[in-house]
Amino acid sequence: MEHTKSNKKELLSVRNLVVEYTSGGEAIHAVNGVSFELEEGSTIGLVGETGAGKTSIARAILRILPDHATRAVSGEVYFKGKELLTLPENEMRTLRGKSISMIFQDPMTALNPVKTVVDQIAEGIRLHQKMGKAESIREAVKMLETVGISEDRANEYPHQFSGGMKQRVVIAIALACNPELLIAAEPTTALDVTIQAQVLDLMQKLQKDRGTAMIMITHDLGVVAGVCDTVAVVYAGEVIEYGSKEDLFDHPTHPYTQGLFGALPDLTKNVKRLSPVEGLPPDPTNLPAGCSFAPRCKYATDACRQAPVGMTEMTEKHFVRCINCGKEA
Amino acid sequence: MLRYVGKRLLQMIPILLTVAILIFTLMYFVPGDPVQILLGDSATPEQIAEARVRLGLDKPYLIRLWNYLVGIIHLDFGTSYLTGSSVAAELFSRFPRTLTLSSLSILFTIVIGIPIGIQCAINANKLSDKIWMFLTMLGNSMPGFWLALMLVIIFSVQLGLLPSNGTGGIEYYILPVVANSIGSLADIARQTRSSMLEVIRSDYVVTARSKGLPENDVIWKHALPNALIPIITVCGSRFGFMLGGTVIIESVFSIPGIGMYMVNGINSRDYPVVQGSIIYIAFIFAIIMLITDLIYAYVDPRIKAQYVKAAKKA
Repeated sequence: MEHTKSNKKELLSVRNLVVEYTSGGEAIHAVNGVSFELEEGSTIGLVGETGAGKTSIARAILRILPDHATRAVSGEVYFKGKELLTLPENEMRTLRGKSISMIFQDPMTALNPVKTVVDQIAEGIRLHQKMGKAESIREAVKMLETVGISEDRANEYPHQFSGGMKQRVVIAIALACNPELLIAAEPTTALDVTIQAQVLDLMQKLQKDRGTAMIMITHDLGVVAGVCDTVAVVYAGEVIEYGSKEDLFDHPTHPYTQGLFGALPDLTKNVKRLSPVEGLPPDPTNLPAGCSFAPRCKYATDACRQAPVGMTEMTEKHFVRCINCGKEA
Repeated sequence: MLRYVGKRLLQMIPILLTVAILIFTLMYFVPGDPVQILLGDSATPEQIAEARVRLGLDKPYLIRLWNYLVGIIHLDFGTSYLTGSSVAAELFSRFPRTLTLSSLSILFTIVIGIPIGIQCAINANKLSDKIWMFLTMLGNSMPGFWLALMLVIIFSVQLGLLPSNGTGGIEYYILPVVANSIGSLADIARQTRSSMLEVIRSDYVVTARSKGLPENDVIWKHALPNALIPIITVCGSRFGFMLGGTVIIESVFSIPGIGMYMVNGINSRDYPVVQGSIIYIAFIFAIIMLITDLIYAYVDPRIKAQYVKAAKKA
């Protein structure tokens, strides 16, 4: 299915995105110059530890960062040629939910507890497709059936649903207006494993049927292997390795990426202990001057610690932010 | 749901009986002789003894209590020692004025207080929020009688725009309502601000925004309904207190409402009046609490589900 991708049009291009939060007067550097591209109908995975800035990237694209805590957003986000970060709010609103929509991490809190699920789906449809109330409800019921929830449960409230069912509702809300881009922020993290598989299958099926492009934000490499075409490994607000899924899984190059794979259990080998990446991510209020991974990297040299490290293209379209990797290759 | 309401109404009976017994007993043991006050210092012992028999005060405690409770069941709260008129009739005739004053006050409180609170929550920690919060603190700490007198001085005495006391058309209610609601209004504004602040940052509000809804819809249709429960609680208890008679406001503006009736009763040891008023207040509170709980259920389906479940169990 990947072969036809190369002649598809570019849908989203994020260039040098920076997000800074403020907390108690201190600047928190959550996203520090992230760039990536996404073609129509394809999927990119943003992988990284908790706190790496993945969700901030997603929220910045949709411009739903928390007002009270956000200090600065800069860079460029092109969606079908339109720059989103400078778009007036009312124009941005016509894109939200219609062209770009988002699935949130925790289905338990993502739904409004005092509105029926069908209402919550119909609302977006009514707004973007300019439909009447009855018609939008009919559409919403259809959407619910698409995600596997029968019509007779449509008028129930979120508290009457299980976690997996709620996430289906969240997916239905996100896909109700046939968006061109779906941002899935850890959509399976809060679910148990059997439900995870169901939800992922459902998302992939709907994505294929509708030709929706997707940004899959996750820390689960298994999810990446299942659904993504390209992968960006995010560390301390930077993309440290970027390439096709095959490149990354077959030739993980950055020491951090290698560490991530090393931390996965491999059933074919008899290993007593997993090897986690030692140490913790750097403090986002006080990032190191050089490579952000240097403090945890066993290959780090003085050169690593002195100046920020740029991206090196290892093979075609496989980039690594590491000065040592280029030399070795 | 109907079952729940029925159950709650039945529960009110023992509550009201307990209140009646308690207040009757308290009044029985209160020192001071109402007959002495009624007849004055010049009364002869024969006159006093005759009055005691006439008022039924010569009978033992249990018999008087029994008679009183039997009367209550027939909606008879006794007659005033002082005027000889029926307490129930007096309460009924004064109730519409207190109800009008309280309803207008709570309406004013809600219509002004909630939007102020919402604006403050949206602009939290900005200048406008700080100004409003300062003003609400002021409103909260201003004594009602002082504000009432100030309003009278400015709007009645100086400007001559509004009547300073009495009852009549709607213009007679403007000053009392404002004086009566400033405190509650400030309270509601602060409560709305704090519960909106909690809700405004929750995930489902982000979801609503990510659907592309206009900010007004996000606030009024998604955030506010979830922030309403504590606001309703405050409104309910405030309304209950208002209906119980706003003594100061009624005195300043000479509105013959229930608050004034009760205070006069207390001053002249008119026990049937005091007892009747207390039972009325207990009844009003029980009704307001029931209505508050029903509004909870209307606002939050999770609470409604609980009610239905609880009513089925019983």
